[in-house]
Amino acid sequence: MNTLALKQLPMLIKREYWEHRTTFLYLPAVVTAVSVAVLILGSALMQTGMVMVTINNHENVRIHTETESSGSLLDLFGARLVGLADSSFGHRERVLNDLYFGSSTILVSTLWFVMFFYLLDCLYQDRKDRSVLFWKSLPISDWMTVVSKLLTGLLVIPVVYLLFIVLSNVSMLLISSMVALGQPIDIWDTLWAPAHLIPRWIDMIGYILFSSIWCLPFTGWLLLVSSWAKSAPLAWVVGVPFFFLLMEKIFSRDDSLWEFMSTHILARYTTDHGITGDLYSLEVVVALVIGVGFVTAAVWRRGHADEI
Amino acid sequence: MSEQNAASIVRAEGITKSFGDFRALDGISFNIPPGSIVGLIGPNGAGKTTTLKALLGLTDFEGELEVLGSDPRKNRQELMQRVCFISDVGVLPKWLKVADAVDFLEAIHPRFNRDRAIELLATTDIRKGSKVKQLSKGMVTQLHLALVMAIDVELLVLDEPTIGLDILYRKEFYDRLLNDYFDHETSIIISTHQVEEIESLLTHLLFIDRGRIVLDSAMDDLADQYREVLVVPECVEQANDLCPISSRELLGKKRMIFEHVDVDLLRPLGELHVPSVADLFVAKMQRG
Repeated sequence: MNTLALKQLPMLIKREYWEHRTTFLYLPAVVTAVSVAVLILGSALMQTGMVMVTINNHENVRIHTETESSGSLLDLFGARLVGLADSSFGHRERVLNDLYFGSSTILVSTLWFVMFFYLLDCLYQDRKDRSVLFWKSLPISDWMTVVSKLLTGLLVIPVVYLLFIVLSNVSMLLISSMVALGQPIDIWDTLWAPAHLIPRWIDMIGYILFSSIWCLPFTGWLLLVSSWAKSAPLAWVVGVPFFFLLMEKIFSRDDSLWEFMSTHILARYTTDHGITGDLYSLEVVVALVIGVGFVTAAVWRRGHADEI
Repeated sequence: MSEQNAASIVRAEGITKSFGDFRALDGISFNIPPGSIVGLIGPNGAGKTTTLKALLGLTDFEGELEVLGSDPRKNRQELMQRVCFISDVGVLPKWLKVADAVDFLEAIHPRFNRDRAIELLATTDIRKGSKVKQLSKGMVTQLHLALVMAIDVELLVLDEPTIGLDILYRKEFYDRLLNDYFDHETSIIISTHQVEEIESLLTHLLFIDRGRIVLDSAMDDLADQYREVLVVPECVEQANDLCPISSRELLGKKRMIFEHVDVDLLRPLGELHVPSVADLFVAKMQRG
């Protein structure tokens, strides 16, 4: 890579941000705000129910909420936290995981759709609106163009969404901690310790990095369709694999194609072999080879791109 | 073009391009010397855009083509550091902010001069915070021209740059190009079907029709090859014998255009002129 290319890459990624500000930034911000609000409200209102569950699992838990359930929302929430503080550490871990970090799940699902449509659109839209003629008038190689879009899709968008997950996790705990200030609760032990924030986030970084390779056959396929389709990229992206799956179904008793496709469209952290075992596994190598093949084909198509 | 020197900016030899059964380019050949302003002129669908796209490496073709000494199909990235083009109006992305466009080009293009771009933009009504979609068509063209004029290239390619603009913007566009940009070192190729507007700028003419070059001449040589005669009534028959390439009646007078006919033969027929590019264009296109 020469020095010009190194200077170009950050600007090309910035360019993607300018174009997709709404889905890269505003959308996760709104999703975060709404889901935090809903979850906080939910955990306050679900108070009675949650405590009942607690009672079922831990007979020795004190029951001190029923009388307070007629108070304000803040009281309800406070009482809920007291209930949590009285439960076992393992239970607190589960509650925090399921309820408090529900926002992570919503953000991750949003991320999948944003990445999908971004990658499918990124080499198609500019041909359709003819701005490809402007981009092609600049000294940017086709490799550079495609790689900047791939990096944006596989790393930049996920990292931005991860930051929003961090933000939602922290704000959930901060709001709860503020409510808990008025209660006889050890805040650290009740909320922050069982949340395991740091390992949770490190896990997610691993998840993003590993998935960028694991899902490359899928993301590369999206790029290839995006660079090739003259119309209806969505139909191509779904239709072609569907055709091959149908062929497999008709002519073969095997379902390895289905197996491969269905496992590689979703992000994952590791398989059963742990991270290093996975990186050197045959399946990862196969994914990498197929993915790089698709990306190379997309670069080649981009070289012949014209307005459509 | 008469100059066949090795230093040609563009050297095209037998360029052919087909879309299915349709021959968009039918073996065209031409040369563009350095420091020239070439008008690539032809009716709609004549092959202008296809020719320019071939020069820019944006389309495949058969034949031999050298732009600044290399094949545009290879190493486009390097070529685009030395060549710039404006294809039509409105290809700037709608979401791009003016200030961002300047930042972008500064990082992307090694020959982009930021100060120059800002200086040029300051002479327009374009605000730095505006997005392209907020600008009028004329302003988008002004923006594009200002950005391109801040890039120091050897060849500038303009494909119908003023199509769809009103006369004020069109005039300003060409004035600016000629006064603030053209320095006899950069060559410019302009394609258009609006001949009159660029006639006065050009140093070279290329007429293209149905994928073939039908006229290739330096403006200065035009007078040696083409003459328009306002034929006096009694000489009309005699004039017709010299096979004019066009003949039309205007205000009761016959105007005929002759190609490669000795001036001494034409002089007795009536008043002599160098034909306007527009008239020549019409004459050439009618002959097909």
